[in-house]
Amino acid sequence: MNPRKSYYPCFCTFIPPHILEHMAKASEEVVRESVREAARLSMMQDNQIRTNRANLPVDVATFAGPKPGIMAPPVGTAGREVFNCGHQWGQPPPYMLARGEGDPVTGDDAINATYDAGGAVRDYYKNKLGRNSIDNLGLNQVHNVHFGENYMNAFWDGSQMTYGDGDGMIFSSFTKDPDVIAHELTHGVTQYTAGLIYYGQSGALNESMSDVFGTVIQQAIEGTTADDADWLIGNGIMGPELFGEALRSMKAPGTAYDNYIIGKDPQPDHMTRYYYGASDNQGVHINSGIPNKVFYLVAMDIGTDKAALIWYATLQRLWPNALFGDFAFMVADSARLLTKNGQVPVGTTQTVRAALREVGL
Amino acid sequence: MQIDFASSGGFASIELAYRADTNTLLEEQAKELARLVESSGAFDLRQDDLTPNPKAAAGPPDVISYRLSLSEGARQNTLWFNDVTAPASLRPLLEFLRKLALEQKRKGG
Repeated sequence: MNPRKSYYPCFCTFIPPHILEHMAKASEEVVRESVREAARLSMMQDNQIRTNRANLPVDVATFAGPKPGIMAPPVGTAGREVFNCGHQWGQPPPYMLARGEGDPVTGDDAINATYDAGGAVRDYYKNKLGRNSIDNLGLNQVHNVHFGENYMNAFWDGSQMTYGDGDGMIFSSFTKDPDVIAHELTHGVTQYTAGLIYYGQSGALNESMSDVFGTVIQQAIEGTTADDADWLIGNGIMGPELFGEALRSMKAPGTAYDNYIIGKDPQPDHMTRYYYGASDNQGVHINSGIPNKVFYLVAMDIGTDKAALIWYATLQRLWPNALFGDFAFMVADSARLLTKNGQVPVGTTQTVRAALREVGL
Repeated sequence: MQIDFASSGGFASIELAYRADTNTLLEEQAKELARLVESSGAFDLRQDDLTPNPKAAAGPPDVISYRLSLSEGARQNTLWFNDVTAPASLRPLLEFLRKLALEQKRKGG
């Protein structure tokens, strides 16, 4: 028996069963087939994740559990569990738990930064949006830091987060910027809500939702407002070689970077410049610039937290193969409903429509 | 040995590509590449062991997708995978290839 396997309370599938059921009801046959295929492939990926975990090496120390004094939080308490991969290329076994919920500060900056940002994300979703962790059922947050050697990435694998340290030249640790951590955790929230398929327009909406809540939560952490926020994504992880650059700009998509190493920011800021190529799962990180700009424009008008309320309501009303047009309808309608409830100012529906029009939606 | 490598996606969404013939590389680089290819077992890995249809699979959010083609005499292999499906044995080779691809970009390649 693999001890890590028994340690985890939830092995969520990449697309939960209720979403698969929703997909089966798609009206057009072509859409239905493509969605089914994507769902099938995602489930295969999820099976691969499970297989990888099942094949984790087991040694005697594994059975001893984490170091003395380091405790994993009880299941379903939205607790944080930060594991140290120790620069190995794999998910660490239980004894590499470096900081659990309520444990004291460690001597490792990446572990502490992840723990702090994870707490800020949990608190924002709970206190501002009424959501109990990633799945709204108190799922514990599992973070794996110091993944591999010079690994330049962070990702959500369907049940937990993994962060690399970067190469120290182009990128520093991906745990350094809270918007990265909030971005990855929001992929989990999207998985449990709209379930947006990570391909084409639904994938771009998935990415945009992560950028939106990444920047919203970063502003909450920094105490900034829409007016004085930088509206940049990933600027905090740029290493000395590219310091001053960022990975995305929500204010001005397409302007985040331009250099000889990683090239030029390809994000469009309007539907007339929409990317139709095959790269990046048909541009999930590229066309996300369009809905990102809509959020920026709305937040500048009504404030970031109120705009976040509208986007969170929208996220809960979208579905796996939603397109930009579906998003446009739902975000405007969510603004109308929240206006009716007095949660956003009168005139917000019109502000949202004007923002959509400004990007060609 | 001919190597053709590409990676895309990830949080930073950087596209990298590197193509090389170890016969034309600096001796040190060629030796290191040959060593990493052998230690990874890349020629012996079968696509079916990774994921059945990787070219069509979008993968979990923000994972990097990789394509690796190797050719040496009668031996050939092409693999598609991502950060979740990549075997740990391939990781040192992948990072070395990404490093070479970035070096190439620094030199204007």
